[in-house]
Amino acid sequence: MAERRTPDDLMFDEELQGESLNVPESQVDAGFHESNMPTNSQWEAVSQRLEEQRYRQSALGSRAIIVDALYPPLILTENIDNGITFNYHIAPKSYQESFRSRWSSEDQAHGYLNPKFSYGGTEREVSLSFVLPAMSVQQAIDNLSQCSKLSRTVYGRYRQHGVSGENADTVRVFSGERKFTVDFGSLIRDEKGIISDFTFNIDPDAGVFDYQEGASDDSKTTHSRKGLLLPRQLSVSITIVFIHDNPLGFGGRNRIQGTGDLKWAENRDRDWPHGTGRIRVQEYMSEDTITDADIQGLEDEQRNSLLRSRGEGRVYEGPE
Amino acid sequence: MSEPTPIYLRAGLPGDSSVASWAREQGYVIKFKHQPTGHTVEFPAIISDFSDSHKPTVGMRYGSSQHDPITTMTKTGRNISFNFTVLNSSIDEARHNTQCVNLLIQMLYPKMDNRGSFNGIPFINIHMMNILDGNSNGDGTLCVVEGIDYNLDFDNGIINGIEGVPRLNSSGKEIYPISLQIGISAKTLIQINSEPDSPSPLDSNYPSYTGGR
Repeated sequence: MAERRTPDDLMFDEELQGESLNVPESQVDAGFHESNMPTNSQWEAVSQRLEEQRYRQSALGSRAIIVDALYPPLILTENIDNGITFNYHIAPKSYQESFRSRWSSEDQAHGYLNPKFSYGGTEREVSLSFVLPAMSVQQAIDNLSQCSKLSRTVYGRYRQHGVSGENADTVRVFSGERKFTVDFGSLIRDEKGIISDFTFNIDPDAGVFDYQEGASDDSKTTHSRKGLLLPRQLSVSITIVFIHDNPLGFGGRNRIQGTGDLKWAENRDRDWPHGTGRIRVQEYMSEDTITDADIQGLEDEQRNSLLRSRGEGRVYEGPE
Repeated sequence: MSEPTPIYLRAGLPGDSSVASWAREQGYVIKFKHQPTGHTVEFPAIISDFSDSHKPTVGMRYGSSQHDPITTMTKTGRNISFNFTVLNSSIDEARHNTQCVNLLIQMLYPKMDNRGSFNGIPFINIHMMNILDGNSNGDGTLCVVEGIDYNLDFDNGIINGIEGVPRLNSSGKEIYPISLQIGISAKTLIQINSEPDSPSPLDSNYPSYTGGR
C-alpha cells in the first residue's frame, strides 16, 4: 500500500516543484540548441539549485540526525543492579542553572548598620527543558518509551525484604531516592544528582502520526493500532539537584596547606562546574601531584624554589 | 615561603572588534572579588537590568483614636540584583569565558582549612562602574551573594566542539552558548565611616552613585 502523504510531505513536494519550475526551459535542453547555450553562470546557478534540492531532501530525512550532531546526548545512569539508564539525544530549549547560598543573619544591637551573617553552604540545581521530535512512527514510539523511563527516575527505589517466623513472607521496603550520574556535554560532566522534577507535554500543534485502517504494519507516517496516539513532538523538562562527592571550596584537605590555600579544593585538574574542552585549566584549578611528604624530602633551596613557583599568580588575558 | 597569589581573570578575548575590548576601553566592566581568597574576575558590563533597593525595617504601632502609626525604625537593608550577558564569538573565547564564569560561580563557595571546615566565608566585592563603587580602595561594594543564575537559551545559538575529555564526561562533547545570561542577587554590607568626628556611620557620599569617593 502506498504511503499516505502528510502535510509536511505535500509541502515539500510543492517546494520541489517550485524549484524545478524556476529552471528556465531553455537551460534544460540547452545542449540541442547551441545558439541558446547557457552561460557558465547560468549553469552554476542550475547546479547550485539542484545541489540545494538534494541537500533539502537529505536534510528532511535527517533532522533527527542534526539534533544528534549539534547537541550531546543526555545521559542518566543509576549505578545499581537493574537501575535506570537513559541515554538519548534531545533538542534542548533552555538550560537554567542556579547556585543558591544559604545565609542566615542575626541582628546586632540597636543602631548597628550590618547584621551578623553566617554561611551554611551553596546548593546547585539545573532545570533543563527540551523537545523530542519524531520523524517517523518508530521514533514517536521511542520518544514515548524514553519519557516513560525518564518519569520513573523521580520515584523511589524499593526492595524485597524477607520476614521470617510463623508468617514468613516478603515485604516491599522503600529504600530511598534514585541517584544518577548525569552527563550533558560540557555543561554537566558525570556529576551525581537526583531528579527532583519531571514534566512531559504533548505539542498538539506539531501533529500526530495517524492510524490507517487496513495497514498490516506501521509505515513511516501511519500506524496500524486504532486508538494509539503518537505525537510528532514532545516537550519535556527535568530538574536535577546535584550531590557532589568532591569537596567544594578553596584549600581544604586535598590541597597542601600554605601553597594550596587559594586553589580549588577538588584537586583534579578539571574545570568546574562547566568543562572547557582540552584547554589548560587555570593554575588555581590544576592538580597537585606532589604531596607534603615529597616537599619535606627536598633540599631547602629546592623546596623554597618549588613553593615560590607554585605560589606565583598571573594576570590571565585569554588563550595564547 | 612566598604567599600564594590570587588569580585575576578577564572575560573576553583581546581584539579590536570584540565587545570585551570596547567595554574595557570605555571602562564598562563588572568586577567580582572573592574576599577569602582575593581571586578576581572581570566581565564586560553588558547589563540587561539593575536594581538597588534600600529598605528600612520600621515597626508600626497604632494607638486608639489615632490615624497614624507610631513608628520605630530598627535598621535599613540594601539588596541589589542585576543581569548581565556574556557573549562568545568563537570556541576559543567560549572556553576562556567558561573559565571566567566558573570562577564567578566558585566564588559562592568558602575557603576551607585542612580538615575541610569552612574558615573563610564567601563575601564578594562587586564593582560596577560608578553604580556600585563602594569603598575608598576601589574594590566595590561588599556583598553577601545569595544566588547566581546561569541561563542559556539554545535559540540564540550554540558553539559546539568535540574536544571534551571522555575521562571527565561520557559523551566527550562540548557545548557553549553564544549568549549567556548571568543573574546576581545579593545583600550588601555597608562600609562604616571611620572618621571619628562624623555623626553618621555612613560615608558622606554613600551610596556614591556618582562615583565620587
